[in-house]
Amino acid sequence: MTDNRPEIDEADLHAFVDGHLPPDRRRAAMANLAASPDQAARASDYRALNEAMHLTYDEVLHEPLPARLRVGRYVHPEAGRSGAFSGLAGPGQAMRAAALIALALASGFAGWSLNDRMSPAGVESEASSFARNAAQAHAVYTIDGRHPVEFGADQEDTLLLWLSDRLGTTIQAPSLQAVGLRLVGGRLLPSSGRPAGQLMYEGEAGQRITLYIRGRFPMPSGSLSGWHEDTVRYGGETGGVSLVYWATGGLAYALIGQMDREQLLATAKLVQEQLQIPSITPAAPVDQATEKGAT
Amino acid sequence: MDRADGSVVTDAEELITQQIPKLRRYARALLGDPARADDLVQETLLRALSRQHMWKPGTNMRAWMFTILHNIHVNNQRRRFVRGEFQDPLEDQPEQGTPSTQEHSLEIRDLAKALKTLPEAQRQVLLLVGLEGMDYKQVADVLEVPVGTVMSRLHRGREALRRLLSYERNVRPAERTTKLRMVP
Repeated sequence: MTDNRPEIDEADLHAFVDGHLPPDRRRAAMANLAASPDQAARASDYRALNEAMHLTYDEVLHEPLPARLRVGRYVHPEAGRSGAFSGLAGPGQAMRAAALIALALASGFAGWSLNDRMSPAGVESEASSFARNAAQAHAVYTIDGRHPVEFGADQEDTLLLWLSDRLGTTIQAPSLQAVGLRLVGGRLLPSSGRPAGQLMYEGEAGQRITLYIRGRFPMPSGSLSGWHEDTVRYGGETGGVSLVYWATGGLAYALIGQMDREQLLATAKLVQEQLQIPSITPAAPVDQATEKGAT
Repeated sequence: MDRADGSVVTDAEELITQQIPKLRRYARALLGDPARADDLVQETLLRALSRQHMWKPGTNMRAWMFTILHNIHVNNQRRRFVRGEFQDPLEDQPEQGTPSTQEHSLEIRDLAKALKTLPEAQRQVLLLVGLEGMDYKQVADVLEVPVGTVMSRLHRGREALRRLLSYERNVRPAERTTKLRMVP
């Protein structure tokens, strides 16, 4: 890109259109365009593309913000927000590692689905696939030293607002102090193409228990849901980690941790007692729902 | 500059707030689906708020937040891929309707459609340059690629759209005439 070269190259042509060319090069570009109909046509098309993008998408700038995109909703001036996240490294590496672990463990946890929850045709029930997803998520994130949770317990309000938005119903974090577990935090996860929430608890010995929550799929009649409303079922045990799961109203829950069956069932009971589950509104668009409640 | 008192925090929050509409516009154009786009912006917002102490006052908040958005997007794609849930959402999403009364509706619909045919890496560059007005160095920083890569993606993307849209321009009028005749 020397200044006395008469020709302008491709990069110059783009920079000319985008207004990033210094004045002297700009003059050279204009002289060039005047002499070259082909380049002039290209410059004109490039500019038209930029304009078309604005015509197409600028209206988004003027749409009212849904409540979940307003800063004020998450900022509580009186609550300190300093240093909640020590994860200086981007989430990339942790996620990559977690993803690989998920792959490695997926086969190991396939056992969850083999108990009694397959239909004769071998189709996995919703409950079974749900339990398997919950077990995988537990395996991945309880051993993640850097980013076990996306939001820590010190940002519980933000975490629960976020999960509630994405799951389309109010999500609460039950207190498990009675069994010696404190909330560490939680995260949002994909689960069979839907958002799921994972709340992580920790005991005094450092053992981690996760509560996994997802909206239930609307099931066509006759299909295999595998749920027994409100009944806690024992999913099995793998490597000292047990799993129980149940469904109440529109939500499915799984509780996973290094506990024996009786301890886990008792903890599940504690969870059930605390959760006042509002009925889920089927197919209610989240944005509109939250918009109405906005200030 | 680096005061730890409330005023700096408030400044950061103010600057974060200002970026939301732009992030939303970009995410909408990138993903096509408004709900998924807002999911991405919300996650970006939450992460920016929780890490605002890492933002250096005086530096470009827009670039910082677009970088966060881009990182989250990359991770989301990777997660979906690993979980076997990956499908390009733009492949199976219904068209976002544009008001048919608008004079430019045909061209606008064509542009949104044409953008979707581009590889995402090119679409990102075209949108950051054309919609956000970022210079090429800023785009390179946000996407974490060399400037030369930005330039070649920009060129390939624009040329592809140019071919596509000029093809559409030549074909569409005939279609339109046919349709008009069929309307009683």
